[in-house]
Order: sequence, then C-alpha cells, then structure tokens
Amino acid sequence: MKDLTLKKSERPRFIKKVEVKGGTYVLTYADGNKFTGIEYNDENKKKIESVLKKQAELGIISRRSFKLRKTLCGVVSGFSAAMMIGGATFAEGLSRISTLDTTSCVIAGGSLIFFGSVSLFISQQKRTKNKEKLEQIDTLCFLQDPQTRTDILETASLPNGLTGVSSQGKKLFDKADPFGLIDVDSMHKEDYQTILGNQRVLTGLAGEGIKPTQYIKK
Amino acid sequence: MKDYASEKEKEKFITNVVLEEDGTLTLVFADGKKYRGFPHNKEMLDSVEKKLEKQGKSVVKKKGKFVLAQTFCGTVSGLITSAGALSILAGVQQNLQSPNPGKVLGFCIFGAAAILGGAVSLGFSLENRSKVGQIKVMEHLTGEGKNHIREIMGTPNGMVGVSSKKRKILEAAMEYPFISIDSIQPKVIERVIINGENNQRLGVSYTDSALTSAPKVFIKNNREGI
Repeated sequence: MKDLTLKKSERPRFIKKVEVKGGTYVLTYADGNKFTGIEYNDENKKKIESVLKKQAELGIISRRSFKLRKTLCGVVSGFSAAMMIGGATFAEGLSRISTLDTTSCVIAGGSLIFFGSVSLFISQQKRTKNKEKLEQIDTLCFLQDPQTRTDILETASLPNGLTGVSSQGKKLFDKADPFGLIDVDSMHKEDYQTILGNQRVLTGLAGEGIKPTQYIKK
Repeated sequence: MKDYASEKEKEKFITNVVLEEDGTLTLVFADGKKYRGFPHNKEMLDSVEKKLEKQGKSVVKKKGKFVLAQTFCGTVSGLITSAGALSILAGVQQNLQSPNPGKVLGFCIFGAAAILGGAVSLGFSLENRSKVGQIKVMEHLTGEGKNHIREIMGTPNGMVGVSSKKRKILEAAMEYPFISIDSIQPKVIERVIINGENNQRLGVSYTDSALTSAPKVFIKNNREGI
C-alpha cells in the first residue's frame, strides 16, 4: 500500500507492506520499521486486512489533500521550468545591457538554471508520488461498491473474462480473496475497468447467440 | 532528574543519585548539597525511587509552566536575533551611504548585543525543551504507566525501531525508572508506546520463537526478573 498518511507523525502507525517470509507475516510500516514473527494463519490475515481496510478508508478521506498536493507540485514544477528558461534569457540579456563582465552574467544565469533544475527535479518526484497515491485511492474508491465487485468477480470467472488484464492483475483472481488489501499494490483500476468492459462485450455476444463452446465458469 | 524546583523547594528536591566506589549511595539535591553514605540495597533504592516518583508527579502537574517558558524563550530569541541582524545590516548600509563611525559603531554594538541576547534566550528555550521532554517521559512512567511500558517491552516487536544500545540502556533503566530518568530518552519511550499501540491495533498472534526471543517482562521492580 502506498503511504497514505498526511502527517509524518502518522507514519510509524501506517502499514505499508505485508510480506510472507519463512512462514510468518512481516509488516513494514511507513517509517521503515518492521514487525516480524507474526503467525501465518487465516485469523491473523483477517486482522491485518481489517487494519489495512481502516488505513484505506483514511486514505480515501484524504483524497482531496493528495490532489491539492499534486497540483501544488505541478505549479512548483512550472515555476522551476520558468526559472530555468528565465535564467538563460537573463544571462544573455544582462550581458548586453549591463556593464558586468560575461563571467558574472553566466554565474547569475547559471545559478538560476541550477536552482530551477533542482527544484524541478524535486517537485516532479513529489508529483509522481502523489499521482501514484491518487491512483491507488481511485482504485480503492472504485472497489468500494459491492455491485462492482460482484460484476468483476462474475466476469473474471467466465472464459475470456480476463482478456486484456495485466498478468499481475490476473494472478489476483487465483487467490481466495481477489480484493484482499494485502495485495493492494497489484490492484489497478484499469484492470477492473477492462474486466467490466469484457463483461459488456461478452454479454452482447451472448445476446446474439455467440458463445464459447464451453460457456461454463472456470 | 533535571532541576524543576523553585528556590524554596531546592533543598528538598533530589536531582541525582550516585553510586560511589565504596558501594554507598550519594544523594545530590537541587541546591547543590550532597548527602553521602546511604546503603546500596533494595530497600534504599525502593525508597529513593518512591521519593523521586513523588517528585515526578508534582513536576508533571507543572508541565504547562515549562511549555510556556520554552515557547516564550524561543519567541523572544527569534525576535531579538532578528532585530540584531537588522541592526547590523543597517550599520553596513550606513557605512556604505555616508560613513559615520559613531552611528555605524552604535548599530553594530546594538546588533551584536541583541544577537548575544538571542543566543542566551535560545539556550533557555532549549533547556526548557529538554525539561518538557523529560516531563513527557515521567508522564508515561508514573503509576501503572511504567508497568505498561515494561509489558510492551516484553512483547514481540515491542522494541522495534530502538537500536540495540538504546534498548540495553532502557532495559537497565526500567528497573528503577525515576532513579535512571536522565538515561531514558523521550524518543525511545515514544517509540515503545507506538509499538504497543500497533500491537494492540493488530491483535495478532506470534510464533513461539518470536515470543521467546522477546525481552523478559519486568513487573513491579522485581529485581530477580531482570
């Protein structure tokens, strides 16, 4: 799960990753600390899932804040790019109108370009992170509707139901709980939309009498 | 324990307990007096711990005063230092515009004095900050709090995020937490409490090896258990 915390102080309480190692669950928190030695059984899985569910709900509530952060990072990126272009223009223009020597103008313009590029790099990285978080929140929101889940499960069990779905997404449907939040990082809204698209196509074909030879559940 | 006593209380406020080379205990009070020759045994340590816990409880009640002092000194430090820096800048500008040694010197002396004052105020703020940190630790250790901390330390993952060195220091300090209060870092206690909260929230079962590798649980100053 992406780190969906808004404050640094929440990070030690936010489970980011659930792994199975040596027959035990290993939980990695958003601050990097790991909880080890948790028995690998269904009861513990349910408990971990319930904590992840609460985290997901908090993430959904914070959606607007992540969107705002992403927009702000975009604005900063724009300013940074402008600073870089401005730096180059400034150096060139300054050398014409002022009495300063060329080296000073190059240093002034170069500084602007340097700080602009550093700022652009940092803001773009943050923007990408927030974008990924938003994508995960969107997937979680999408799967909140029980009817959508039922439709996805029904279509996934049909032949050709998973056509066009990523291999990561296909693997989820081999598991007992395809919507288990332990595997949330493998869940993508696009895959689910593809499955629902397949449902429409398959239903349309079936209506016209076009069915696979064995139109049975997998 | 840091000195939280007012002038009147200083003669009764213990700030340190020292184990001397001859095996006796020396009690150091806030007014600087040292009382030597106390026996180093369980009864004595229990009594001193009790006295220090009582001191701790009264300090916790006065937490607001230290928080206020920390904020006030920090703000004053920022204001005075800024004024000092501005004064020096004004001096530099004065020197560039129309050099007037008297005025420039005046600006610079005022600026330097203000920056010095700011640094002193910052010192007071930092001192109060460290006191507030220790008060937070004492808040967690008074009453049943210390047993709660000991229980968390005894559970699997209870000490996650604490380095082995700090872990050893905390384990040793938890025998008599108020006597060893100066060696307990606020961040370490906070970390242990978060681990306890995480364990409680998860409510999962652990493997036998995880349970046996967790540190022993210390209950109510039972020295044999440590």
